[in-house]
Amino acid sequence: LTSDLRYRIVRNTVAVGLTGVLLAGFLVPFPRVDSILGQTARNLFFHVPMWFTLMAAMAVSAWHAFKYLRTKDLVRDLRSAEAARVGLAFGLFGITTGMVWARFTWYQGTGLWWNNDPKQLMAAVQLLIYAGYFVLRSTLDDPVRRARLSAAYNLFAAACVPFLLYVVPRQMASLHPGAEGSPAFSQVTHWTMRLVLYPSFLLFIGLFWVLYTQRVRLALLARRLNPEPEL
Amino acid sequence: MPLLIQSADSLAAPDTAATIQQVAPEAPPTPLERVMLQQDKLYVVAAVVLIIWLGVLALLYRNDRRIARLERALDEGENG
Repeated sequence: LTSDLRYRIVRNTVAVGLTGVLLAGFLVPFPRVDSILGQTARNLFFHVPMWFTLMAAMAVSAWHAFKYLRTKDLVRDLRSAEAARVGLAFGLFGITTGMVWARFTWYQGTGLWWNNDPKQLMAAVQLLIYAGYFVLRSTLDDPVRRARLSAAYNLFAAACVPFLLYVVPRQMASLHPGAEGSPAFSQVTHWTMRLVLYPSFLLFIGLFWVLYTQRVRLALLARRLNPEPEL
Repeated sequence: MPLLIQSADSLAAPDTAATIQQVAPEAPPTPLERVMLQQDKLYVVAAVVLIIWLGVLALLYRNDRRIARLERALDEGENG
């Protein structure tokens, strides 16, 4: 019952908070720092939290994968898979919003929807690694074998995240802040924007948690209705 | 894609993006660009928000399908 209360508090906070982020995202004033960005600087509030949410989701997923390997509890496997599923959705939002952003700003006039920016490329690789996780799951019928192998794969996938999303792209020239030739985030981001951005991080992660909890509840119900044979 | 790498080599100013645009081939704006660049590119923000909204809707529909499956399984359990 306490977990139910916690769920409702988070859900309602997310509902109200994200509505605020949406409004503030369009309305907050900020000084122009760049001739190319224009109003698209506001995409910071929506594009960047997708990736932070992906990282939070995949951390949750990896945690449950790790706990599965320790405890052999199939509920851990179920949680790990659902966290990765919702996390991957946020990754897809992140990569699509990034494509649209770049297309009409830095790549305006070139017609390029995909520009092979190192961060974009590495993020795509990371999403494919997680897509592989679900391919792996779908090929294994025995629930215990599936849980064990996919937990191991999940830990490998999670270990790639810091390298593919941070370490490697920062070594190369990229449109993204902090990379070679691009100003650092702290240099270009006005405090009024941070006032919206930081809550946005928390609230999108909260949205992930709400969706993930819903999926877990559904999966647990399905298990009760149609229990998998214990091996 | 190589344009990005070249531009960074000759870069002195902190604004990579400006360099990239100098290198990028100049083309007249396409009809889609004419729409998206209105209002100081505010339409791009609208598109980004719309993508996320549609994605959340897709998740909603998936959950709906899952609930319907569970309901059918429950009905079958009761009747069978």
